[in-house]
Amino acid sequence: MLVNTATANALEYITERAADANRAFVPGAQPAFADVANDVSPARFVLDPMSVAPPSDSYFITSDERGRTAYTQNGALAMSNGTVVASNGRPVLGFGAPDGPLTELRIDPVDLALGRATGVRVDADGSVDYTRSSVDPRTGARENERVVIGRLALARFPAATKLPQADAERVLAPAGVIPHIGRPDDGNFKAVAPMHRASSRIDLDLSLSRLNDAYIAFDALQAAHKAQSSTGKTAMDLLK
Amino acid sequence: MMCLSFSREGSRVGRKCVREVHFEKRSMLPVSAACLVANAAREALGALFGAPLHLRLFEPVLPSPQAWAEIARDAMLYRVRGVRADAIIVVRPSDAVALATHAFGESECAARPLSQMERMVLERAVRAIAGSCAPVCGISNDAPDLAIAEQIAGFVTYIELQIESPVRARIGIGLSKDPRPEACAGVRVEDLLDLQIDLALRTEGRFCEAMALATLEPEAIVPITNERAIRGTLYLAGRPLASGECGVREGRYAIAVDLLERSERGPRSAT
Repeated sequence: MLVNTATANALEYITERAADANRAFVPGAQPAFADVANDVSPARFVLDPMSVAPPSDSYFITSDERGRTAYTQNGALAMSNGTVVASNGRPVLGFGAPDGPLTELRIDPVDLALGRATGVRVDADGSVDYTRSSVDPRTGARENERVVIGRLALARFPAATKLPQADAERVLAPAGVIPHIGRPDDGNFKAVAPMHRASSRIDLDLSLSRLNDAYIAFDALQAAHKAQSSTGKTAMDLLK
Repeated sequence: MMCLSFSREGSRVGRKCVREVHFEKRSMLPVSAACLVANAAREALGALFGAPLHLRLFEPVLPSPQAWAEIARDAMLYRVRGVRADAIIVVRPSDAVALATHAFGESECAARPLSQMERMVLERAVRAIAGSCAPVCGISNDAPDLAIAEQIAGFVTYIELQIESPVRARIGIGLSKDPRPEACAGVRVEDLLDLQIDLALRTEGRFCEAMALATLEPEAIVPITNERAIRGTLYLAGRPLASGECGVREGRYAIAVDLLERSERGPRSAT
């Protein structure tokens, strides 16, 4: 079956509008169309010490299902086998050492194996730490210490950069664009908001309205095509 | 030993955070004994490095086989034999580098193979730590024989020392035996004295006329025609406890005990 270009474009337009509507509740989701963007709303408080909201112009660094480096504003982080992971279960990158390279953030394997790591949380400066109990051998007093396993990394793109979607929650860096990478609260990046989750930038009502408009436009296009083919048939009949 | 404990993480049930109870394996090595080891190691290493050492101790645990594998992964293992138990000193690669380089006034913590000189320095440090295990292993001499081990096998208890200054490093100590718990009375006899005990009384030698039994019906009163006092036996959980004469004293039924039944096991000593 042949589909002409106008119909294909209309279908693609509906798909993109539907994708915007689908992501209306995804934390930190950016709309593909600017006309459904809402004002930057404050992050929501959540009772999860591993949830964190990035600054409005910054992204956490992770990877998508195909292993490509991806960027997300969804800070619903979790621990999986001692590694900090994003909502899709892929590791989130950070700095394990002050001068170290970007790496996965992992709890010390022995602490993990012995069940010593409890109370994992993210702080405002992006530090991911956990509580470990130890004893002062001179006094016998038990003490809890916070063990930092690293700091989350943040990425920022030049203003007005159009970021291609990797999936519903993640974007990719456009070809030739290298993001600026740093740490939260390091002077270049603002602090992250612990126990918060970024709000979606997509207005649900507007996105549904635009999706409806797209369907109406598609119906109109179909009707025009039908009328055009009907006129052509009539002309051919007259010629015969 | 299995101990009843609460789970580390609580689960939310409605508006409450509930920590469930469960049995977990727990080492019977007293923390005080581990503190003795840690303090001795602090003194020995402090003397070796020529600087006061600050360290902390992680409580004794009984690692699972998977945890032992993680503990031993890429680590340098030194085995030392003791009278009561064997010990194994576990030094992870990055900690080995930190300890060895500190002796030369350097601070390096990235894992790498040690030079021959650094390896000798590390062995001296490990030997000092091994000597500190005397309270738990029975190592008697100050310069115990060290044997490099390839793997951890047959070890039960694990404690770990975290040196915080002047160098940051962790040193693990595995022990081949966990102390056996000593059975002791958890509840004293004195704690039971206020308990209300349910006793049964069985009386013997009662006589009545046959006519009284033939006309027996509810609310009937059967006279007991014994000339002698009625004897009764007290039973506790079906076992005879004492016997004596039944009667009334100060308006209450009572039994004057004149014979104590002997237990089949014989008299028990109070604990």
